[in-house]
Amino acid sequence: MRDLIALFIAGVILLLLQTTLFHHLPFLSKKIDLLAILAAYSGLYLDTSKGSVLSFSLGYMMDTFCGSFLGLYAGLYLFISFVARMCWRHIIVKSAIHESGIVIFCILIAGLLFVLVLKVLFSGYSTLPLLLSVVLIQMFLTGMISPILFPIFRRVSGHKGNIYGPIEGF
Amino acid sequence: MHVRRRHPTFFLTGLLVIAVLVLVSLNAGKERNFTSPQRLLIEGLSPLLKAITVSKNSIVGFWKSYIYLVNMRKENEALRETIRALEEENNRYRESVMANIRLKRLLGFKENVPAPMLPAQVVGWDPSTWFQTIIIDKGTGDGIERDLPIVNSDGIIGRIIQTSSHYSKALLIIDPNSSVDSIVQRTRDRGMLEGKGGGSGGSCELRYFSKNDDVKSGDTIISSGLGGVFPKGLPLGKVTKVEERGFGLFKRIKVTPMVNFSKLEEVMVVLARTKPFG
Repeated sequence: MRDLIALFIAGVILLLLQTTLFHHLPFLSKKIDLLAILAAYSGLYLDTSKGSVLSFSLGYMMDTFCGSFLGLYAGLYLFISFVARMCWRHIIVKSAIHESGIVIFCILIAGLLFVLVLKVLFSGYSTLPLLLSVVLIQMFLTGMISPILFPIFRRVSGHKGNIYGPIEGF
Repeated sequence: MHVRRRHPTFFLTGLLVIAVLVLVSLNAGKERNFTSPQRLLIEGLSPLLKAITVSKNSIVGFWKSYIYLVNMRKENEALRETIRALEEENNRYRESVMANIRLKRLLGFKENVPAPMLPAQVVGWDPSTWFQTIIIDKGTGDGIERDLPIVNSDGIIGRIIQTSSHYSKALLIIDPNSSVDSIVQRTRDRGMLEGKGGGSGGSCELRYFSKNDDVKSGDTIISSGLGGVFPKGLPLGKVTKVEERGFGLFKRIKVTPMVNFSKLEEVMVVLARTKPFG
């Protein structure tokens, strides 16, 4: 339970950063979703219940501060957590490169799904420019930053020992 | 009960998936105000947002005040010149305004009282890539309601969509979910200004302009006052590109907003709706 609370607090701090200081960084502004990385981490290194609860809470918090549609990010982060979990079941995660690869894959799949949902729910979004200008850039930048954040999440949550594997299985 | 005992993980996960579906279906097709847990989150975290934003602004302010002091004298002289020119221009406009008021009275127009405004500080920006909203430090306790317009000296910024006691969330005009009934100032032709997202300061598109309508690059777009949210006559943006495709009934018109959304710090909330200005 301690790891869940610690990671949730880490999520709050990341959200505060994204909502304030990140806006003023010209290149990174709105291009990196730090909470999505945390959702992927929760899928890889927490058991399914904790991972689901954490990713849902992070998404709900994100929904409060962005847009006007409640439930989009709660669903998206839950989905990212599941995709990461599925990856862990089929891929042996042995290094930070593997983790980055999984994060990139999760962001890509979640981004595609999100663009599709936006297209269905709101008429104002054009699919192709979003895919090229947002999803692909976000995918690579998030993949690049995840090797920095994952060790921080490990330290915060107190996960030790075999770091490349879940704390508890399915 | 049986599933809950034997597969607690699947039960919990299934419950969360159902919660997401319920949340999404409750919100489908309409804008809702903050729910109670959301109000708690906003009220709890926004003071931290405000503290970070104020600290950031102080640091930036210090930098601007002291480091750029070197260029201040030159700038001061240039500004004095500009003020002299503007004072002359202002006198001419004042005369025009007086004449306009007299003519309006003659025509039997109602006398318009400018709407009261409430200044607010931007304490947070939308953390996502997909939406364009801001959090301001005024809420229902200060008289803020949903759908009140927010503006600054450059023009329209957006409208309030969700409120809590001390904070509110506003949808910017560059958000793809925003549309403002607008007119071209020069020709008075009407269209809908829709947001196209926040890339490089944000952009909008003027829609439903037929190929026969007269609009060109450099035209100013203002609010029409229709729609019940924005006052009439406030600037929205400038036309930067007009495209006529071979097929289709309408022109494709790109509009750059008057407001620089990447540098928003203070805004004004107009406390009354659709009161024409001027």
